[in-house]
Amino acid sequence: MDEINWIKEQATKLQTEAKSYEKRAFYHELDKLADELATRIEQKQGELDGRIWNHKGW
Amino acid sequence: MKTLVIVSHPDINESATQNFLKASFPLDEEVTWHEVVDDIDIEHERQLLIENERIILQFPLYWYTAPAALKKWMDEVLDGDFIFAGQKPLANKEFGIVVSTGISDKQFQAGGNEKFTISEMLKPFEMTANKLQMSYLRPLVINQFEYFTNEQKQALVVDYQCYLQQIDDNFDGRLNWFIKRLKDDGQDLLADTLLAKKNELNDLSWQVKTMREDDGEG
Repeated sequence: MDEINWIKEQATKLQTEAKSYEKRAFYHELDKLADELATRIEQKQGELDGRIWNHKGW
Repeated sequence: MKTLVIVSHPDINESATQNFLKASFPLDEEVTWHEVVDDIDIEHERQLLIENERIILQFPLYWYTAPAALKKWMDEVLDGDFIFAGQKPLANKEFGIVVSTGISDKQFQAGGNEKFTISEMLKPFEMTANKLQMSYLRPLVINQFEYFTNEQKQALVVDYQCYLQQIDDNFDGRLNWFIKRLKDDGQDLLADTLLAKKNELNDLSWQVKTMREDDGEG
């Protein structure tokens, strides 16, 4: 999840630097979006791993 | 997508919600903020409707419907001569609603003080969209803006912009909206990284779907 962490770091940095409320809001929500994306990737990866290691398929 | 936001409020300058939405309005020539006035230029309004693909009515809830000025606008602009004579000029366009209320969202359900849901309350608008052969969008409902925290307000800025600009109303559509916005802001590397992670999720989703099908879970 290095890329996700990088997106979140950039979002935090750009939020701090933003000169308008609208832009701060955008990067704040980008940070939340990255969290949701990470969760979905983790869930899908977990399901995939679980199915690959299903003993019924061995 | 060309989007027209038709805004109606009896005292728009005094409305904290409408002022907040106006300040949040996207800087995008494809999206137009258009306020309803007393003296309606019917032909001009119709031309605006024809030129835009997504039409959004934005208003505060007054006695469970739109303020009188917007009802008058609908009665005069959307009359039979325009809507039903020959072609159907608004067919296949999108019809959305941004509505603000002073009531907590939990009250809009069976057992709540209002007893009915927002979807039930907005049926006349949904029926209008159906009659016009337009696609009715999930409404954006803003309940009790005066009690919003800063966190909620920041979320509303983006939810509102997405409501006006986002193509598909799902997570993929939201990711696409963020990617485009990042590119517009000159953040190409950030946009490309987000796109790569989106593609990773889509690849995983496809693999999981395939395996489910292989496991007979269709």
